[in-house]
Amino acid sequence: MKIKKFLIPEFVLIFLLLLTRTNAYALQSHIGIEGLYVHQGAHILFAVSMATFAWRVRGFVFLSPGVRKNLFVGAILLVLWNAWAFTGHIVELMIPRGHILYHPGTKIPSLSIHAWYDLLYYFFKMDHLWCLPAIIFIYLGIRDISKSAAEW
Amino acid sequence: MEWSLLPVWGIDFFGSAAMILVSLLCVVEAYKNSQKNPDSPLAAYILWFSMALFAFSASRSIGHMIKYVLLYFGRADLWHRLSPVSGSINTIAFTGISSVTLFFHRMQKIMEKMEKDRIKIEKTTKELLKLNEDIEAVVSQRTKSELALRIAHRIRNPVMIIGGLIRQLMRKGHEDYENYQLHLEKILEQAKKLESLVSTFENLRASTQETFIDIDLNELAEEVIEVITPEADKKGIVLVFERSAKPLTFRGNPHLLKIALLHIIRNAIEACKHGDSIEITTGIEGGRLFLEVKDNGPGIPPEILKHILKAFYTTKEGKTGLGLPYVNQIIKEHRGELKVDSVQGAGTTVRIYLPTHGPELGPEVQ
Ligand SMILES: Nc1ncnc2c1ncn2[C@@H]1O[C@H](COP(=O)(O)OP(=O)(O)O)[C@@H](O)[C@H]1O
Ligand SMILES: [Mg+2]
Repeated sequence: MKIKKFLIPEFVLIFLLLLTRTNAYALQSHIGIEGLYVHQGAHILFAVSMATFAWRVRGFVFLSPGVRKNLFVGAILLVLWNAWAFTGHIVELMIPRGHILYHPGTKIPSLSIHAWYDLLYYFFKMDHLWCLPAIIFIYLGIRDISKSAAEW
Repeated sequence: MEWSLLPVWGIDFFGSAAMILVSLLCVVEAYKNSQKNPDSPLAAYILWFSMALFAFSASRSIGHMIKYVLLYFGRADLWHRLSPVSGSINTIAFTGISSVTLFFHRMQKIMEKMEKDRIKIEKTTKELLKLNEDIEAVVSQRTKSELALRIAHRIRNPVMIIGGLIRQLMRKGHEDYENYQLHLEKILEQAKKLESLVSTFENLRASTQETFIDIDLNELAEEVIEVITPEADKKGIVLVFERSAKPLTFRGNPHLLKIALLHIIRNAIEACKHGDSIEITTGIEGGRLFLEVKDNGPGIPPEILKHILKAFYTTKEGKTGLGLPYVNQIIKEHRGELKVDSVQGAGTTVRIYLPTHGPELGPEVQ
């Protein structure tokens, strides 16, 4: 009984987000501002759940300290990645179309840096610098779980 | 100022590919782990978690990679049609991973509670066992003193009468022949009472020994091996029985001893892996019968070996650790001895010694 009561807020939140998923357009193309809201909401939810996970996993006695540390670091990096991507999506909106230049003869465009947000855009687009290490730490954690499983 | 987006595209493209790969590896590891621990809710959760992570990475990364390929080949129009789909899937994956993770939060609470309950049950059982021991001690103490009282009571009368008659005889001497004869008869009567008392005790002793009968250790071992062989076969472990050629009769409780033997062999089976072997040997040594269970399994680390005969000491999940202490108890009831020797990495040898009973001692003694 107690458990059910606790689960409700989380699931209501998730359910609401799932309900609105039809509006979730891709951010990459800036289509539909509602889609962006939903996506940003999902980023916040993702960050909150990873923060919760990181907080909880530290005290998880069934896992060895090494596993706990790796999962913790991975989850924290994912929180940071969410914050990074969240900011990146906002910065993305600030860039005028004209700042991305396709020169004839080149297939990869360049960015004309006129303002601070152009610079931000350039750096915030490189979000894999956060999420790739994050998932590598998580991988290392999961890989070692079966070793510590003997103590379960 | 103009910067090429090449580094951005490069990192995004190859980063995406790496994300897919690493998250796939997570699923593989989590799957392997859940196969190893099929009953563990934590293993199941980790598998779900890694699958959600994979769904998130794959949906996002594939979208990104397609985007760069399409843009690279000048198909921005196609990308504009695809991107809402890719983006939506991506967002759904986000919420998916969140729900799995937040659910974990609840599950962890439940598991912690289960662990606490387990510890509590263990403690309670331990206390019960201790209590039971105490009660048994008290009961046996009481039975003993009651028995002693009864014996004293039944012996007192004849002994006192005999004593009185003899004292009278000694006072009067031999003069009164008729009385002398009468006295002796009375003494004899009382002596007979004592005799019958003694035989009652012998019967009593026999009835308590009824559960102990003449058995042959070889036959006992054979019966147990027959029962346990399927378990060993299932794990691909070879059981070898080196049967002593001599008869190994002794008095014991076959039921209890079978339980003890079964447990010792089962421990060896649990410790061994496919291809290992367990050797069971019977024989006589130093005037005692012995049965040896020798395996070439992983052995027992010294720090565990020290505690192995203590109740509740176990290294296995879902086991009570009551096995060996109970086995030890049974062997002790037979005035025997239990010995465990182990070399880590080389194997374990468990030996039980039992006192002999009968002519089988002969040849050994000569
Ligand atoms: N033949 C063996 N080889 C290796 N380890 C053993 C062997 N027999 C017993 N052990 C170790 O001793 C521990 C205690 O055994 P036992 O008292 O039977 O309890 P349980 O079998 O319930 O764990 C086991 O958990 C195991 O680690
Ligand atoms: Mg056992």
